[in-house]
Amino acid sequence: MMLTVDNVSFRYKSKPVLDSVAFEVAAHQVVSILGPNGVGKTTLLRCMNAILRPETGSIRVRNENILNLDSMEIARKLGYVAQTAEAARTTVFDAVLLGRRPHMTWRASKHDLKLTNAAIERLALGDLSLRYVTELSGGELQKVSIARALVQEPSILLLDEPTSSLDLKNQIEILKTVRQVAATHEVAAIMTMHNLNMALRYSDLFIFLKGGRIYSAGSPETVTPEIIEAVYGVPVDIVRHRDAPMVVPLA
Amino acid sequence: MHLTHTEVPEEYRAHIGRKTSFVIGSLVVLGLTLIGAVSVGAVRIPLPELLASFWNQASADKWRIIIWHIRMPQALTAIVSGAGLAAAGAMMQSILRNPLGSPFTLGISHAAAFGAALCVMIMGPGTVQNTGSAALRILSPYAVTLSAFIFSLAATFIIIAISRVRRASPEVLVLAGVALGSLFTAGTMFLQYFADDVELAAMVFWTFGDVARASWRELLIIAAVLAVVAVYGFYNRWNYNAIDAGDETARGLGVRVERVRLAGMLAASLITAVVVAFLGIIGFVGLVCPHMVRRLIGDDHRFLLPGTCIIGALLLLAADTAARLVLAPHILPVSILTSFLGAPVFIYLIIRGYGR
Repeated sequence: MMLTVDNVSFRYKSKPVLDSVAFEVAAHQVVSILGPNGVGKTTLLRCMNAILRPETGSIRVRNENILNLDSMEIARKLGYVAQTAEAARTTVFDAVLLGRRPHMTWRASKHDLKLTNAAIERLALGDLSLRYVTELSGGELQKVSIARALVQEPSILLLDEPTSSLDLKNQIEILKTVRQVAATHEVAAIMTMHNLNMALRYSDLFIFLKGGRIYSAGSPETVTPEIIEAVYGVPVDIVRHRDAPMVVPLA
Repeated sequence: MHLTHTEVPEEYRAHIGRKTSFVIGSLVVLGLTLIGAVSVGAVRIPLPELLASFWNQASADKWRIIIWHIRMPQALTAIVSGAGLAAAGAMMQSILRNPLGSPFTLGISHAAAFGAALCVMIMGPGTVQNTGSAALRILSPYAVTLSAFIFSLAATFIIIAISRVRRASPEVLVLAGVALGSLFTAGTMFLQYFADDVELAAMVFWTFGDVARASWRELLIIAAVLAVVAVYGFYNRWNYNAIDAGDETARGLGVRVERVRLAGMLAASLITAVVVAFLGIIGFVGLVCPHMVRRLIGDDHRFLLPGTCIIGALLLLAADTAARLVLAPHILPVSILTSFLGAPVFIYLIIRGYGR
């Protein structure tokens, strides 16, 4: 397995957030973590790359517990795309090159520069590579963040609500990119999502969180209106439109 | 995961070349300004004789004292202290992700001024004299320097201690710094209120930052601390770039953000404390220089940090030379000129605006 999350629990001071969360992810899979606000989706993502240290359990990438590794070693195994990316006055090329930080010692090597260029071309950012990041749109900025995570050469790509501030066109573009990356590289992508329809369309595996525990996990076929109603407290129907499942709220 | 290698575009190499040229070009201008600064003054030293003195030629003997005992230490002090204050400002702005980050907005200079005032109050002021113009000589200058240094570092440690209780977020560090600055200013005013005329004059005199106060010994101390801080800052250039991209992104890249932030704060405070303790308060260099350089070459710390050091050195050297000439034969402390020039330059930068 590419990633094994085993018995992970986490609490903020006295408030328990995650309780014995466990699941496995294989290479090439795109996984959506779903659930209402405050259920612990982002906390789970942060525990997965040890930004937050879980109280119990282990996070194993290719069978190695990352909780025993230092922060740079972890960053070589897991790429993290934060929900909000800050824009500094650096070029797109330099912003992506920053993803080589966990591999660098003193300076960027030719290998680092070539990989950066490859990631920029992979994300179709070539025309923007010398533009300042501050001049980019939200969608372009998100692509820069994904390219930066790619040059970390991770086994796992973690994305915290990658489409939350994007328009429809950019949402589709970003999720397609994530799918393509997972399909063509030896990598698994795990993202937290709010948009159920987008998640249904672009994910292979779903993890629904409720009360800090996994309420349900499975493929798109296993998602039922009852699960969604139990997790979100909203009655829904799932209809098929051109072979794609769609969640329609009934409330 | 493997990406296929592709060649780096020529345009990017040219872009990096331009930034490198800026840094090297600034260094050349700094060298030329240094020669000019040593050459001009109350007595003008002809350029051939100035250059001859570097090679120890007998023809330059009559200038040797002016060059090596007065002007060169003053000019080199302006260079190292300008570089130090500017580097401190650039590091603070980056790690605090706040464009107002500088040794002055964070209360470190106020703490130094309080330390100096307290020492003057306890040990008493001395006789009247100063470099160049008649003013005041402080009776125990090293005690005052030490006291200023201790208080400015104490302010730093208080800010860091507060941020350890809370999380070391930029907001906590900036607000703690502003609060401490206010506290130390009140303390200085309290001491000044109860000081006699001579003590008050000594306290006020100390705050006029002046690079002429340093001799070779002080210059070497400042230069040594600057070297350590500059190497440390440059070593962390990728970490500062990562923090610029946001704390969460930086953590995802393996950067231990809180540790980098606190250590950077300590390093920036150390060079500030040394400069302020020896020279007094020199305003605006730490605030304005990083902004000027950001406008010219962007936020990439690989170039921003060396560029800021050189431009800071150049600015303070040029300002000090101007301060020696503008009201000649009277010599102004450089801090008066930097504050006069710094404010309109800063306002200009704000009006022109840029994305930070």
